[in-house]
Amino acid sequence: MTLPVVTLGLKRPLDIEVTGVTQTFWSGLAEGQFLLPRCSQCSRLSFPPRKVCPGCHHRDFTWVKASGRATLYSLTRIHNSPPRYNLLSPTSVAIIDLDEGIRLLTRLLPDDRPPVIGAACELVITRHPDGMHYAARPAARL
Amino acid sequence: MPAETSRVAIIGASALPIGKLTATSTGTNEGLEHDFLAEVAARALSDAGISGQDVDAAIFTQNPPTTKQLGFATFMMAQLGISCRGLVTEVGQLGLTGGVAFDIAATQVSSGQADFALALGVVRQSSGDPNIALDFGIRAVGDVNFQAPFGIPPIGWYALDCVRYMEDYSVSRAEIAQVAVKSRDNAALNPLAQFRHPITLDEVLAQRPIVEPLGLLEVPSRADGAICLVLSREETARELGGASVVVEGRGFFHEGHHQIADHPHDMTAFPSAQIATGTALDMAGLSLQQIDLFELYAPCTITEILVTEAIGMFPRGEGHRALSEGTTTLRGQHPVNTSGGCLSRGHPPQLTGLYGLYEIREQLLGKAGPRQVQTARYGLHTCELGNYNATLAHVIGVCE
Repeated sequence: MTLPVVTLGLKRPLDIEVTGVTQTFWSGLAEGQFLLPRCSQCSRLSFPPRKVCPGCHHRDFTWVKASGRATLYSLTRIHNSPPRYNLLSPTSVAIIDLDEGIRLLTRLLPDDRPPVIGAACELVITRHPDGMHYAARPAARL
Repeated sequence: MPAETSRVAIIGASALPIGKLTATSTGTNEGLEHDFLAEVAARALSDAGISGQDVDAAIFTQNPPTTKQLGFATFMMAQLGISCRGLVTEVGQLGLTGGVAFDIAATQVSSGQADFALALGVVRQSSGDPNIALDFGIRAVGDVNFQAPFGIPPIGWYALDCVRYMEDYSVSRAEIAQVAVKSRDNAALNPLAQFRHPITLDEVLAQRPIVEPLGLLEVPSRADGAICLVLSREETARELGGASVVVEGRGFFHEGHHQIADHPHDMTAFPSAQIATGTALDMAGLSLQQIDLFELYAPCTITEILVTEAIGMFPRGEGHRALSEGTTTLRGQHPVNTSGGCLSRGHPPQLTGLYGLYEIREQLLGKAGPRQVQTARYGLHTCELGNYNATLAHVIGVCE
């Protein structure tokens, strides 16, 4: 199973620097997966990927596929970011809690269902002219 | 060599009104960053009753990215013709910056490395391209690959706090926005304030949105300023004989998160503010109830409410009641941000910590004019980093 992909016509606002630490994550996005590193020693899930586990400082990880299911913790619409950040107008962001227990900040895509705190939402992969990124939107109706 | 426990006094200070440091009516700039700061430093030394030769250390707040001159700390000391045996450096830690400059200057004094130390800085950015400061802010408060690309500026995080808080505690934007009105009422009485015309709640709510639900008057504006505080040991202050205030307590805490953790937590609890303030009060041997006024770093309306709750002034979800009940006004039981705070006194981010300490000194010395808090003996100051992930707190008292 892969995550939905949405095409956004503009480049990612900051150049993404892919490194040995993050390469698996970005490759995963290109294949429709949102991968979370799990520490091989203490089993802690982390995000974003890092060199050492913040729980125990171990340096080996396995990768877990996120289901994409999440809950909206908070959101805002931003009217004052510099123009290059405004891929969509206005720019919306959300903090979401993945079902796997990871919290992250991401772009919130426009949707005809107004997003509310506590609502189910889903991760989507965004395709840009220069590569992939990710966003959230209210969860698809069952 | 003094004992390491020497208490530190603020023996002199000077500050420019916050606003725009730019052109005169003829269109010529009055000066550059170093010119404004040189004048302020000279006035602060004069206020302290010492000369440049007495200064042993100078801790500068890092300039914003719009400042062309680099190597600023030593360049500035050359402007002033001051040589130092202690430390001369710049420090920069987002909103903590002013407080950190003060904290290091105080340590220079308490450790004996300096008899007299300056904590000082200048911000001149309001005439520059606003996108430079915004882009800097976005990269400072977010992972550059995983958060910053979404374009969230520092105040965007407070907006996220606000939305969550409103939902968790059934509080309206209007109840929170009262902070802006109170701030303006205080600033109206402060000659250093950027905005001094009173405003109404309706006006606040009618402004265009900046980071929803917060509008133009619920967030800080771009601001310039320049400020210098002069520090010495408490005994030295007594020998000099001028009026001064002393650091009674100090606390710091960083919770180990940058904005948010990667595991769910209560984002609006601000535990660092509670811990750092508790440490500072313990060191001072004081309770929160003994503090006469509070200068709390709060760039947005919601931030003031959250930090007052975090430090224990009000139960969670009830900080907004202080506004309708008047508890945090100038004449209230716990005056908060008597200067007008970030929203109306003004918020040159790197300097806000120093301007907050300046206000407490003015109040404790009885120099606050029409906004004077009566019989003020102790003030509490906080500054912070991120979404109050780190807090630096100082308790300041009258030197008697």
